[in-house]
Amino acid sequence: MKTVVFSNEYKYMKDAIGLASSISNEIIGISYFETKEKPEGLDKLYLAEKRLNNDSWVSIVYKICEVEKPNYIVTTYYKDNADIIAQVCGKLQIPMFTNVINLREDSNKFVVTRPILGGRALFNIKVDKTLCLAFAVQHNRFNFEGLSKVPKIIEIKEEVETRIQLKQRKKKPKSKIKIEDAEMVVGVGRGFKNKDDLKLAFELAELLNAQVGCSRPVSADYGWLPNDAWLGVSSKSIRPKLYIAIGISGAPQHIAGIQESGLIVAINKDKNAPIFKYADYGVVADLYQFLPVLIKELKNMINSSRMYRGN
Amino acid sequence: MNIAVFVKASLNLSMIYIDSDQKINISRTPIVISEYDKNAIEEGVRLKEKYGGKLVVFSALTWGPIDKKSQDFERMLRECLAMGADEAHALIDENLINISSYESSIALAKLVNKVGNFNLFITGEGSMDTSSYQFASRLASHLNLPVITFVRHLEIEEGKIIAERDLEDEIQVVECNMPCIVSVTGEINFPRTVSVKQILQAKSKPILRYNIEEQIPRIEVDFEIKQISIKRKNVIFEGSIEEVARMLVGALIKEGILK
Repeated sequence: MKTVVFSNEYKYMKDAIGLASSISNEIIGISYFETKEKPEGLDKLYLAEKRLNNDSWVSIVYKICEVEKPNYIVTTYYKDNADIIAQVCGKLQIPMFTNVINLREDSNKFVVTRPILGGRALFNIKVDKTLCLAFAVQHNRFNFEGLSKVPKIIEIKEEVETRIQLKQRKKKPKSKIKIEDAEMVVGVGRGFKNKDDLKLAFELAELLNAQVGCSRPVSADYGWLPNDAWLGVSSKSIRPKLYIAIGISGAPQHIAGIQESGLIVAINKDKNAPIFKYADYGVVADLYQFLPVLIKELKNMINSSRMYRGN
Repeated sequence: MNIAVFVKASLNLSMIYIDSDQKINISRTPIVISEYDKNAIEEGVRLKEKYGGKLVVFSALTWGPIDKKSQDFERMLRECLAMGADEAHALIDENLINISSYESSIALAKLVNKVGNFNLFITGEGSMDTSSYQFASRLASHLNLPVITFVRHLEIEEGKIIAERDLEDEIQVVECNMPCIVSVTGEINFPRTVSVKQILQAKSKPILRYNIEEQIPRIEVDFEIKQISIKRKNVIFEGSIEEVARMLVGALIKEGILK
């Protein structure tokens, strides 16, 4: 079986190679090095010399697919990758499964699993595996191991016309630690009245060595926190050991992004807030009254354990 | 300027019917306009108000059974018309039930070509039920047009679209000649709400219903949709604020989270 794997930046390629290696023995990569990379796990790599826009990538990937005639196409699910591969799939008239979190073989079928309904349900799809199929896999779901194959590199040199001109790129502000990788996360919501008041949450987060995330309005509407702190179905999904939701009512879109957390604590003054249904431990209280007390309690605990250890 | 907007009749996320075996019962779950497709209609209405022309809504009914869904589907189309669209063209066909954007993009591309010429095609970034984020891109391939996905701001200057794309790590400003396709995010505007009266007033605007005339390719799949349910302890601490804080810290220690 032959698979074409694609990512518009090589640094996102690993997940795609992870799935490809479990369903095929020949893997052809198509990508671009934003930073210096050491490609692995591929038989061949078509490499662009410069950054390309989606419109150009579509023609290139389509042409390569016509030459390579892969059984499958795999990409790592990011907005641009999904856009590019969906256009290629449109041209090839083949289906694509987006945001795949699991794939297993069942005789002559694949069983593809992906979250749907705002992350509240799993879609299990059985499809004939002899068909030409495409998959956009979710980050951190497919392992990439023991693939030391160093690919033959083929430079993509041709000039491709594009119908879309890139005028400007503005980097979004980024937190230092990725919230998806944090073990503890404190989430803030509309219960906070001012941006300034978030310092209560940050103080708590510091004591717990946690990252601070938020619900949609706090980043998308108020702009109090950067986009990459926004937890929810159309943004970041997290799986930390502990998630503390403060002043978050628990809209389905938010729940979808946090429901896989190990332990969930909810602090909300409305005892009917849906968040409590998804929480292990709930505190019905005004965050402005409760957080200072909780912070004090945690400080006491930390101090006494230091004393105990003789620090 | 003629604008085509594509809307999906999505499963209503706040009225999902779950059977006792945790499976989603599609037949008993109502359908409603998909969230970001509302933003697509709103953007279309705003552009129409500014530049004139016609605003046409396209949709395909993809959840069945048809007899149980057609009333909701009709109401959704009326809502789009009440928001300011001029007419609606809808595919209602047994062969389109349970399809994905692979099939719906082909079927709707054929329908668009039959209905007329458009300068701009707008749709939501993805549907709120199946969230496959492919429709706009696939439509672009079938209509052989350029597509700008994940647009959170849009301007038109001298026949060109200038759009701000909202990506994971960056905002991109891109430019493209019309005709082209854009998919919009929830940040692009605040969709107007329409009253029941406005929906009734929109009754005079035409809804055209079609079967599919020629067979479209279809992938045979078996599927099931199961609720994700993670058991939670649902313990609510009671007492004074100080007591509750102590109980919470105690619980976090017991869970091995705090050491």
